[in-house]
Amino acid sequence: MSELETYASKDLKRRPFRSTLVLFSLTSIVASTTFIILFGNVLLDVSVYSVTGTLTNSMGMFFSTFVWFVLLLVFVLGVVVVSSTVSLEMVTRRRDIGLMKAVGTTLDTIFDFFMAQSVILLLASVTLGITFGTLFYMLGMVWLSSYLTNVQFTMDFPFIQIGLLAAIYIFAGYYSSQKPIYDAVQESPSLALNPDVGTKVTKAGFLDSFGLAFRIAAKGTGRRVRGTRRTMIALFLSFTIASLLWMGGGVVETTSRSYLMRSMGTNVIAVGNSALLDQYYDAYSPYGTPLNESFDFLESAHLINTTLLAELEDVLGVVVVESRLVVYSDVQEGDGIIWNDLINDYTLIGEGREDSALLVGVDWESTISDWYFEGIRTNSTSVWIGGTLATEMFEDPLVQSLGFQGHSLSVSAYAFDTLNGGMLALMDKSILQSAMGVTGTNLALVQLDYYDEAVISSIESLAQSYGFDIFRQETVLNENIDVIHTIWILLNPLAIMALVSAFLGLLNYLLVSVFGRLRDYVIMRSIGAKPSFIAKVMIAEGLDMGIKSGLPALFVAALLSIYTLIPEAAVPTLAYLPASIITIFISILAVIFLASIPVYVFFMTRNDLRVSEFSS
Amino acid sequence: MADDEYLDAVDYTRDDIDVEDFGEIKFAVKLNDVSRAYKAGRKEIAALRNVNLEVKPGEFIVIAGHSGSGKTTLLNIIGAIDLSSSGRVYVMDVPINDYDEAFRSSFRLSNTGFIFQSYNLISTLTAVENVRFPMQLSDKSHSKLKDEAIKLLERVKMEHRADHLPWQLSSGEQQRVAIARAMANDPPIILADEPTANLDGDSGQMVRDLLIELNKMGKAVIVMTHDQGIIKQPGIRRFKMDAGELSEDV
Repeated sequence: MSELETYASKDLKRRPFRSTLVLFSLTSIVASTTFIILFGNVLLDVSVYSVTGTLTNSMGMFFSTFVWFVLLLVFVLGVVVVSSTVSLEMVTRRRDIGLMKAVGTTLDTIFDFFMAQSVILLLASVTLGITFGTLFYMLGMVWLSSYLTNVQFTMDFPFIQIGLLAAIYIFAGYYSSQKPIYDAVQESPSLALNPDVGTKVTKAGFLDSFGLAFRIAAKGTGRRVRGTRRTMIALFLSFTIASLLWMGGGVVETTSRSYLMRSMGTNVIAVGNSALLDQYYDAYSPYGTPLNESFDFLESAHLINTTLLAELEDVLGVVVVESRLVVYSDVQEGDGIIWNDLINDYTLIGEGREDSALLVGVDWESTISDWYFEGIRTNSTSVWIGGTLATEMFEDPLVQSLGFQGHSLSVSAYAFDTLNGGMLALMDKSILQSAMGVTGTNLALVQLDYYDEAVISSIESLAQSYGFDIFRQETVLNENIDVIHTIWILLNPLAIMALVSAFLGLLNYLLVSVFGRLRDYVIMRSIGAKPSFIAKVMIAEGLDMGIKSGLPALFVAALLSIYTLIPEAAVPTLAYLPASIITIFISILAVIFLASIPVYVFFMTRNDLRVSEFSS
Repeated sequence: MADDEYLDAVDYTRDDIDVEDFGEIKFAVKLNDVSRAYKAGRKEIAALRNVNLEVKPGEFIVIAGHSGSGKTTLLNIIGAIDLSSSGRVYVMDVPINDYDEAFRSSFRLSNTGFIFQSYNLISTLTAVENVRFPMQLSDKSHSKLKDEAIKLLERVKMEHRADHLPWQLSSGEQQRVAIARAMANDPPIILADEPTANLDGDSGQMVRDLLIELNKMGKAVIVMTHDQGIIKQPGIRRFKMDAGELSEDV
């Protein structure tokens, strides 16, 4: 260790309170964000791919886009908090820098000295933070494996993610500390020696009318823009993450549920051959067995007589009867042409991949389903494919085609449907009939006003008279909805973690900022401010910062949830958004209040903090 | 007067801290055998040793002494910022050590005005806001506060810098604002710790004049200082502090 580094580390040891404070702040935020990123990633994998079973990738995509965005925000939050804490700490050393300049220390020496301190703090806290974060992650994994006993976990240690996180935190912190040190080194000693220089008189803040404590707090934060800006960004990110998970999470869940209900239809009774119905709904159920490849969907006994369809329509209470042709078939990836910017010419894509999928022929004009799709509406010469088929068999599905039974149809959209885990294709019924060489259909979906047992009984009797059976589709729909809810329950801890992260961020700010302005608080006490008043000012300062960053965060999270992250978002109820905004706002207030308590307790228990230490 | 007799003479158990309710005040400050020791590692350092002091309302006393002699500690104990290790401390006849921090805060607010060597203005408040702050703490009528604060600034000739932040003021100006703040709740006692130590000649003289003016207004003024300009003022009692011991310098 060089002489400069030795001196820098000694200086840190001689300021144990400040050094511990910064170390604690940095360590806590690095640990919490590391934990969220590592554990959040696992939760996503586990919930979407392991628990859902046959739920489609396309459904997982709605969750994964959402959760990945949240994890990205968490990562940005970690970087911002690390850089702002290091930067804040170096701003508080401005006076020392001025003092060193005043006694004639060279600029390079001063810069190296404070950078050495910053690097020591960074390395120590990132090492500790990553260690604690990883430990919490391991504990989380133990908890998860005890909670989800049916899921096999690979307890691979995430070396790469951890290494990357550590490198980025150190890199961000290193460069963030350079600027304030460089600025202080460059300015005149007389200015650097007076740390309050540059504070501007600002007008009253929006909290002024709430009483003296708020007026004092608002002046403290409002007149120290430099010290509060980055903290505001960090808090804004924390609150956005929590709000997004809470508010957006509900929207994602409702939207997914809505997609399910739209694709399957509600109050539906399926009529068909008993074995075929078992195959079909096993392919729909999250707990069902995979399709039997040797099952013949086109067996003559499975085809539904048109008379039965007509009689079903006449049953009182029936809204509509839709007949479909369902076939399990080999499918091939067809070629497509895309513009290639690299060679500035068109390129042929498609590898001719082959797989099996459930082909569903529907009457587009009268179908009871209203699929969510990305692409364009289909016609008699095109096909819609499921999310999993699109992901696993195609490069750029919307410019490619799907081959089956010697036919080829261009893919016009990929649609959300959980049938056969998303390995399906939806096409015009007549095309499928022609391709398969049949004229009839093998599945009738009877939609009712509601599940009236008398009506269901009539349908059942009618079906049985033709040798068919019925299946209550609502049971499978509910199973799928329950699975979505389970995914959401598993992802919920992320919201709590984000709030914990916001709590640590705010605690961080209050500790570093309040103890950076300890003198003002001690002066207030010496003048005659009661301890309760000091507590109020600290809480008010947290409120000022929290509300200024929390309200925009709520607004942004609501907009992101509804308009950006989730296509065709469905809001659970009319009162959902206002109710969740109020809930999150109350949580933000609770976080602010809780973050102020340790700062206040710490402040009040330090008996050495008296005005006398400043007066002589 | 013996300590017991003194205790009998004042009803110190009353919760109400408005000293006007105590009737005639016998002593602005009365210290009986006050000692204060600090721990520095395993060592115990005696900052004050059996200090006895009686200051009557409206009296002006000066305590001189070397740095480290215990002057600031004594001032902090009188101002209820610090607690004595032993002995009895009465301020406006109230045994302030017997009360909790919340009481002592309220007591400080209405009974003592502090003037510090390093001014100790709140850095994020303007001059007028600093002066107004103690008045706001004591729940005075809000509408009149600014006028009252400006009047106090006028008395220290600082009204023209009312809206400036502390860093925008010179040392002398900051100290004058601090004096205006010390007068804010019209406290009967003014405590000043080396109030002129950081000031130039003119500013120092202005502060000296203000302290005398405060005394003429009937306030007990207790000043810790080396400043001969204050020490040699006629009509004041002088004390000497040496190694934690206080003696009257006649």
